[in-house]
Amino acid sequence: MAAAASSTSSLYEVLGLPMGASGHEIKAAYRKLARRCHPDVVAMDQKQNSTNEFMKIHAAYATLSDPDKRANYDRDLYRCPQPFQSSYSSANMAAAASAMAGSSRRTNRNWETDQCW
Amino acid sequence: MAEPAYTVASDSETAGEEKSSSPFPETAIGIDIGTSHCSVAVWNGSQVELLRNIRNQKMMRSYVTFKDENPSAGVSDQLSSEHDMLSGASIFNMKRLIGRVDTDPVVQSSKSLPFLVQTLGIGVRPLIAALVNNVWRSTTPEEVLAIFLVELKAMAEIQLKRPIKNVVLTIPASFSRFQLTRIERACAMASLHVLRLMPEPTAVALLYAQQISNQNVNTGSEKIALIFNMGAGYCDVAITATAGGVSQIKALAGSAIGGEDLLLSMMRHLLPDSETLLTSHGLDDIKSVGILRVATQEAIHTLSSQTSVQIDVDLGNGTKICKVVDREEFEEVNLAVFDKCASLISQCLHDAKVDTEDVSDVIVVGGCSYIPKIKSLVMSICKKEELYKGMKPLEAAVIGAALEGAVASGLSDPFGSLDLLTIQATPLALGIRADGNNFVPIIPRNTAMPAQKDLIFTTAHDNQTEALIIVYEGEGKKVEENHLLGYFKITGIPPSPKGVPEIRVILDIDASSVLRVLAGVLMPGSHQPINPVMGVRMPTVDDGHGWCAEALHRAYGSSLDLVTVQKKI
Repeated sequence: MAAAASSTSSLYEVLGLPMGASGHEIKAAYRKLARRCHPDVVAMDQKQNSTNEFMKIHAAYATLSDPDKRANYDRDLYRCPQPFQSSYSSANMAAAASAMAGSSRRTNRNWETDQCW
Repeated sequence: MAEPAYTVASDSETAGEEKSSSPFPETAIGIDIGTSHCSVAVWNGSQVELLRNIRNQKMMRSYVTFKDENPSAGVSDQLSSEHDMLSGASIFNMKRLIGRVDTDPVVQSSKSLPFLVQTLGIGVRPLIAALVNNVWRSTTPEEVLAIFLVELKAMAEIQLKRPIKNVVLTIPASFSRFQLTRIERACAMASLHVLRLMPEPTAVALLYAQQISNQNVNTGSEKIALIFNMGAGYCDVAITATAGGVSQIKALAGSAIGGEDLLLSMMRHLLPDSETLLTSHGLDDIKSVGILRVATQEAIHTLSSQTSVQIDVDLGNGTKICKVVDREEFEEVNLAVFDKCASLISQCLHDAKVDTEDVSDVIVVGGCSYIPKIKSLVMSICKKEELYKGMKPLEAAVIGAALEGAVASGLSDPFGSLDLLTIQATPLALGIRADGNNFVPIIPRNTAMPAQKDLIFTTAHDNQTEALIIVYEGEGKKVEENHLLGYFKITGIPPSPKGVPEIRVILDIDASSVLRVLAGVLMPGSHQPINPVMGVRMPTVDDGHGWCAEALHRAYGSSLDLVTVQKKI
């Protein structure tokens, strides 16, 4: 299932689409996934996962819905058919990023407007 | 209801415990606190309903009158005439003043209001005071807003026969995150829990999404709408792409311009050289300015339906104004305001990468939508012959907020009326100070939320072991043109030539729109941060924040500076 795709899947797989998908299909798939995975629509205890999930879906959509970016991406995908890594995990410090991001996610869901942690 | 109606519950930032102990989710109410008017709405199980006050009004004036011990707000208070609000005892325009420092032009222009807005021009919060028994009694915009919200809450509780805790509030798109904390603080003081703060045009976008999905069974086709919302205090524009109940905000733009600016420039036009009178705050002068304000306001309203208006007013201080003003003159006097409106629309279209022919609907709402020039300028930029019908200009935002309140409270509707979602975008760029005094955005404006972005910086000096991360929000190239959100220091950078250490700064906006700034040091070849990473929730600045950047500069100069590096691919 696209929603469960790992970070090594192609952007098309993230959206659950074949490579030749039309712009219209890309938008429709993005909306459909957003309706299911956006943190606003999931249960409280799933917000964290859904936030990451949604960002991945949005990144895929942002690339594939832009004709220029999509053309570049398709070319890269064709040229070196190895797993694509999205931009926010591509830097050589991916581990650090996830460690750093992880630390940002550990807070509880309490409403706070000031420094409480 | 345990709480007495007119006390501010606490001064803490949080509104007490927030366990949802009830088995049924409480439906959050939607509140639109306008600069001049305020309204409340709630999902009643099948549709959104606007609440009315005891005088059967859906739109209530946003003001608080201080007299003796008990302040009273515009929710229940009865104004015998508009002049009552202008005696100096009432504070209004809270939304224009909240979270702004005394060097802000919006605060400066508020000095002609009948209550006292005292500025020292040093970047601290202005002194705001109401005239009570010939004493200027100080207050704050947060306190005034809290008193107003307490009355609003009491009104809603009586009508809905249940305690109210959760609210969705609409806010101007141009509000900084610091201003949002001030709104949250006012809500906390009124024992309200902010479920969501929603930029006004995005609330309108949600209502539009609902209306479109009701009409259009074929959910596949995407409709692009431009929303223009201008009230007394703020003008906001949004471009939304809508299909299947999902409203995706493509671009947002906003500015603190509104009916209040039209009113002030008209007053100055009718009474040239009135600066001394406008800001004097002598008892007689307050009265004269009040008379001028009411007469000007009425004239502007008349010009929405007539092409000219006769102004005939005695200010009571020996000055009489007797003048015919036509629409053209009004439009000329306010050329700068209308130009700014036009530039916001153009900017929004540009940012959304949308051509006017792609725009299906143009929605114009807010109090200023009645002004012919506003309607014509929006239509002409969007190349449209007519505007979207089907929304009441003054109610669209609050209805959208109530819809969001229902959706965010986890309610669903058997007919699918709540199968809605807004994908919000950041209204302002977020970034840090680097390369001297430059603002380097890390999350650009109009990025879909939640979001996480990072950028790598490096040291500016050889053997630099510490660096300051100073976080700003805004669109200016130089840091001083932006809003300071906070700052912290990273230490323990291994001594090395400048440009070698990698300082990675991650900005993270989570599902609740909370911003966290993470910063860590990496040395070439290593994949793990040298030291524990700093993770700071922003904003951290409090009042007087205008000073902080300057104080930091004085203390450290450029010794702890950062510079950008090209990101490795």
